[in-house]
Parts: sequence; C-alpha cells; structure tokens
Amino acid sequence: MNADLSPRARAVGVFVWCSFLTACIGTMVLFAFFEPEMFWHGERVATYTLGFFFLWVVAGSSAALALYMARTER
Amino acid sequence: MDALDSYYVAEQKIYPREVTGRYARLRTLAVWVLLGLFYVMPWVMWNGRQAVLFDLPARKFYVFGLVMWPQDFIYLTGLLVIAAMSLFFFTAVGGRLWCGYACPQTVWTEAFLWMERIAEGTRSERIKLDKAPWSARKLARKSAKQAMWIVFSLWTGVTFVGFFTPIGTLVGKIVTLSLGPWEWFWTVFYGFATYGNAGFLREQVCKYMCPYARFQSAMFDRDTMIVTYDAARGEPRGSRRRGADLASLNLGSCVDCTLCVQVCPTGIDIRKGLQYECIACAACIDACDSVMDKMAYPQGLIRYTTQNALDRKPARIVRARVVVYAVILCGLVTGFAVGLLRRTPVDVDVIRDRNALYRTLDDGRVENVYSVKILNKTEHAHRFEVTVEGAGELSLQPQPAVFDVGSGEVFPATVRVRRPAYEPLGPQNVEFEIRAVDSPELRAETRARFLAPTK
Repeated sequence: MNADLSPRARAVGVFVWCSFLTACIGTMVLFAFFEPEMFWHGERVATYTLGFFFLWVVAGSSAALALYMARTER
Repeated sequence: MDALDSYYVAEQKIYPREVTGRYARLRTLAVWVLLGLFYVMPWVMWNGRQAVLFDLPARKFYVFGLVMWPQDFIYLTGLLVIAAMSLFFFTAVGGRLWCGYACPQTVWTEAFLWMERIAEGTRSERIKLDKAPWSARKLARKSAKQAMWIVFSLWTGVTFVGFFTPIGTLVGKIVTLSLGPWEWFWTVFYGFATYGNAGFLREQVCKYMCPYARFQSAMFDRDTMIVTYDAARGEPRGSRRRGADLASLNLGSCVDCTLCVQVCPTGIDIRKGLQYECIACAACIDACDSVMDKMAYPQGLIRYTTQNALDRKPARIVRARVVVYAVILCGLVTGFAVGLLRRTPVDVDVIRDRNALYRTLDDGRVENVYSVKILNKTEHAHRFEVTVEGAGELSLQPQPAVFDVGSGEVFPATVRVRRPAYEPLGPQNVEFEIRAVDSPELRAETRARFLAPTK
C-alpha cells in the first residue's frame, strides 16, 4: 500500500504539494481583493474553484519546471 | 531522471507497531481534541446561525460574534503570520512539537492507523496478512478497512464543505441527493485528499513533500528539545538475560529489541542519531521506557533532551533566538488583539462619479456626485446619516441623507454635494462621515475629492 515512493513519484509529490500550498494562499489573497464578478458572472463558488485550480496549475508548472531544471543540471 | 532512479532501492513498507505510554496518551488526547474541534465545530450554533461559517458565496466570514468581510483580510494575514511565528517559537524551544502532535498529517494518519488496527489487527498480524495469499478472510479484512477509510474520508469532506456551506442544509441535500455540483466536487476532492494523505502516503508526506520538515532545522540549536538516544549509556548494545551483570558482559543499557524502530511511523532507527525524518512523535520513548521498566533499568535511554544536556553542558532555555521569536510573537499578538478590538463594525467607501467632473447649477453653485457605499458589518439593521464637511459652504442632497442598511449589507447610496463655485477656488478635499442614527458610536469617515472650476 504505502511502500516507499520512487524518486519520480517523490518529485511529482513535491511539486504537486508545494504548489497546492502556494495556490491555497494565492486563492485567499486573490479573492480577498477581487470580487469573483470581476472575472466571470457565474456562481461564485464555481469562480473560486476555477481560480484555485488555475493558480494550482500555474504554481505547479513553475515548480515542475524548476524541479526539472534542478534535476537535469550537469 | 533514469540515472537517479537506478540508485533507488525501495524501502520496506512501514507497519508502525502500536505503542502505549505517556507520549502516546498525549498524542491520543491531541487527536481527540483537534479532530473533535474539526468535526464538531460546524455543528455549533451561535445566535441562531452556524458559529463558524466561511460563507464564500456571500463573502462573509462568521466566527462566533464576529462577522468578517473581505475588507478584513488584514486579520487573516495577521493570523497566518502569528501562526508562522508561533511555529518558529515552539520549534526553537520544544523541537518538532507541531509534527508530533498537531499537524493534520499526523492527526489524520493516527485516526487512519486506528481504523487499520481495528480491521487488520496488530503490527505482526498486518504483516502476516499482507504476506498471505488472497483468501476470503483477507478480502473481508481489507474491504472492512477500505470501507471505514472511505466513509471517514467522505465524512471529512462533508465536514470541510460544512465550514463553507451551512452544514445542516448540506447534510439535508446529501440525504435528498440534491447537492450542487461544486459541493459534490469539494466533498469528494477533500475526502480523496484525506484518504491519499492519511491512508496512502502517510510518512512519505513528511519525508518528501513537507517544506516545514526541511527547513525546521534552521530553527534548531543545541538547546532545542529533541528525541534522542543516549548512546553513551546504551552502547554497546546487545541482548542479555534479565538481571545479567552488564559490566562483566561489557554491555550498555540497550537490549537491541528494535521496538523503537518498529513503533516509528517514519521507519527510522533513532539510535543512529537525529534524522530529518524524525517527526518527534516520541513513540520510541514510550516503547523504550516500557522495555527499561521490564529490565528494571532506569527510564530515559531514549528521551526528550537537548544536545547540550546530552553532552553534559549547561542547558539554556532562554537564549537570543528564543527571545527574538518571543518578542516578535508578543508584538504580533498584541497588535492583532488591539486591531480586532478597535475594528469598526461599520465602514464607508466614497467614489466620485466618474462620468462627469462637476456640474454647474443655474444658481452658480458647483455640484459633484458621489456614490457612497455604506457597509454595515454589525448583526443588526441600522439607519445611517451621511454628513459632509470641508472648506466652504457645503450642502448635501438629499437632505437629510439617511439610508437604511440591513445587517451585513453594502448599501450603495448616491449623494450630491453642492458648493459656491469660487469659495474656495478650485478643487478641495471633503470629509464624509456616516453615523448610525440610533447608536452614534457606530461611525466611520473617509475622504474624497471635490472638483470645481479653477477660474
């Protein structure tokens, strides 16, 4: 079940988890200052959800790229 | 990446052995209190509404008597900074107390382990079960565990969403299967995250994913409390009969029973020294103390102590690092408390109408139009009077400018300010004030620009 993760799985875990934490904070800050209606006139919870996943993808891409660069350095 | 992979040796799956003792009781207490707070809090009522409710659709946060708004974001920021500073302070003094007793990862893993033990038995029974070929009994036990985990995870998801949607309504909607798509999504997503982190990943989160585990050593020094093995007393380790003479056998106190390794949730051997995987849960202390008792040796071969104490050097609790963290923490907490006490429950925001700079009336006066947003953060409706002050003879339309604002409402009022065109000449600043007619202490003011011709 929870046998040790392979280095690749660990790397995925690292950037998924770290970008998740960053996206949580980012979502709070973003929607504290901007009303959801500024982006889209839909259900607010939907905007919050999409905003959160958008930030997660952005932060995740950056983290994954940084991790890739650090790991492939020669 | 392939080169890295080839060095990788899969470690054994960790089966943490059940442990009893002082620190295990402390952790059980922490689990009950923290999970209790999480699962019970959404059901606590306050003045006819949920006591703690982060009403995202309405953008209002209820925390008992307080109603917070997005404008109060500074308090959330303050709270997060205080939490971070507390973490620094407690880490410097007590080591990884957070990891061992308070971290959601630890707390939920403990709950999942408890269910695992109910379904699959003790550590040795679990190892045997996993090695055994599939049978009806194995299937039944594994399914029972999975069923408990999944139900618990989903209930965790429901509770999580219950902090954002009134939980009574939420449960009603689940029963009638009329939950909205987003509520479904977050319930399942959070449940899945709980299952993944506490059931599947467990110590891997601490070892490979947690940023705090990596940088906590920056807050450590030689006077920080750590879980440590007293090698000077324990070595050379080895098995012996009870009551054997250690001096003649040339043995230390460690009987090499490996219980400390078996109970470790991250699977390390504390006797190899301080390792970053150690979450300071003190399970090994409990395990070792019980063995020391059986052998009639003094307890504390593995114990909470500091590096300095271990090296027989004077221990200092108060030191520069601790003082600095404490001073910053006290300052932040004081600032937060003062800010919260002085927080005005009403607010006003004034924006000059951007469509026109100003308008000259037939009687020669100049008029500016403002949209005045009155924010009533109290729990009752109030009638507010708007007044304006500044140089020159200012008059306000409508007269009197009173507006009824419901609890928690933002009322957009439009007011006109008029002034003779040339007294004073040109633009000026004006002060708007709102005041509740029935309770004058509910007031707020703001400044706005009044535009007028310069010649």
